[in-house]
Amino acid sequence: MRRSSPLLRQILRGAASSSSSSVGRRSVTYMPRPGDGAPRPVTLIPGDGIGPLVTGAVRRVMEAMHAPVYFETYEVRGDMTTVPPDVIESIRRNKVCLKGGLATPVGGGVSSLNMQLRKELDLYASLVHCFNLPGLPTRHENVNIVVIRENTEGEYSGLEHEVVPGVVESLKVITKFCSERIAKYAFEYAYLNNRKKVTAVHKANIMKLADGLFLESCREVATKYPGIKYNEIIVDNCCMQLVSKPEQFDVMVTPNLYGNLVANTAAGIAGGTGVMPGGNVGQDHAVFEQGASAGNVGNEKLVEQKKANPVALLLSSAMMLRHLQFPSFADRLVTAVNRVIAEGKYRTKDLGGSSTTQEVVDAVIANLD
Amino acid sequence: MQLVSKPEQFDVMVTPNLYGNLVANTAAGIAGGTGVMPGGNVGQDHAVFEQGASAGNVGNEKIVEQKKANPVALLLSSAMMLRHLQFPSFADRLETAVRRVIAEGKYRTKDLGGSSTTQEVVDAVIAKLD
Repeated sequence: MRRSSPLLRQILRGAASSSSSSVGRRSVTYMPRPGDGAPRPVTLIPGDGIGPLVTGAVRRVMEAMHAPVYFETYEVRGDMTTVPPDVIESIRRNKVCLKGGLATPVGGGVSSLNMQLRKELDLYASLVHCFNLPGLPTRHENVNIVVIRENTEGEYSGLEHEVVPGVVESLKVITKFCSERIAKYAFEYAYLNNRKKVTAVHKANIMKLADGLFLESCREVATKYPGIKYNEIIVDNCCMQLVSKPEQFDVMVTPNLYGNLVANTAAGIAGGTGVMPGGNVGQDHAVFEQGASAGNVGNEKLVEQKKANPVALLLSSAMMLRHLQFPSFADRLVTAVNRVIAEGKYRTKDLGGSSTTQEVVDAVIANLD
Repeated sequence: MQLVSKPEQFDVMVTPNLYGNLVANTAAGIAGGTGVMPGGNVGQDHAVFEQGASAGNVGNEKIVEQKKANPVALLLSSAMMLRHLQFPSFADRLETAVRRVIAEGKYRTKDLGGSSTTQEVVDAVIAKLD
């Protein structure tokens, strides 16, 4: 039997993009084990600021899809002194958590709850995926960067003291242990996701010992992955390159602080922190949340007007669905979100529109297969 | 009869043992042949992947002699296996390469109307890997 050439072209197009953006392509190559469809519990922390708005969005879409997840919700606010122990207990039990956002107060000696969570659960890798969304043109095309950031030490070690009044020492701790495992995670991520290059970001010309140790660990791990290109870039040059030629970057591995900056910059050039997904992962647990959150979480006006962008957390929850091994639900969610963005009718303020969170969620639900 | 006249009405079909054998081979036949359909067997604890349907293939002496068996079915089944092992990116690459080779139409075994050997098809798939 002959296939008509339009059909052939569609098959080729569908085959060329390994994401499920082609309409009507049924993926039949998953063979689940009996019982894989049993609902899985996920700890949910709405948090504060825009957190409850965007986690509410995820709940509604999950319900609309009848996704096999159910949420155990816990109240945590950014101004608490510690993360309540029953929340930690729940995450330890469920292994997977979805977090809206926890605003960290500036100064005041209150240690960030986000950091507490990461250290307590040893979520040593933070991952942010920054990419152009179809239908959302930005100044740069072909951005597809994954920033893998060390999440537990570095400049966020929380070790500061006043030596004498007016003189503060802040300790940045870099260990071989943490540098090695983040490098391993980055290369393993690249290997498992068919990525071609890993770039280490550093400032070892100044911090010769600290960043030097980080680089050393990256170089060692790189030798074990000869099929993946490895290069290094100083962080100031990196920032400049990100805003001029971001398509040169693929996977980036960074210590804590640089990762925060690089991830938010990369998110900004590719569409904004309102749309980029990400999460934190360690050996035993995973906490999914917006990839980058600068300018979002504590923004009062967005909360009042209920105009926070739910896309980032929706895409992160799709990552969570894949993590839980529900790829078909993840595909449906991502497809629906992509359609809404491409259509352009329902966009929140950060994307140039004026829709509310609710309107975007309704559109996503309407676009579900 | 419906399978051979209006197969698009069917989606997932659950059958007892014998009917499943017949229905699967018929469905495979109308959609491209048993040389290309993937499949497997799964239980609570284990999974065995193999060609989806195998009527007219497995025992065929001539194909063995001439080394002209169609590898596509088992390649696609191994992609299912890769997903089962949670290596989706590798599964995607494999499927994409196989689809490209089939779509291009240059290297096809006899059951697909061509005259290539197994080796030629495999070389083509490898050449098309991302």
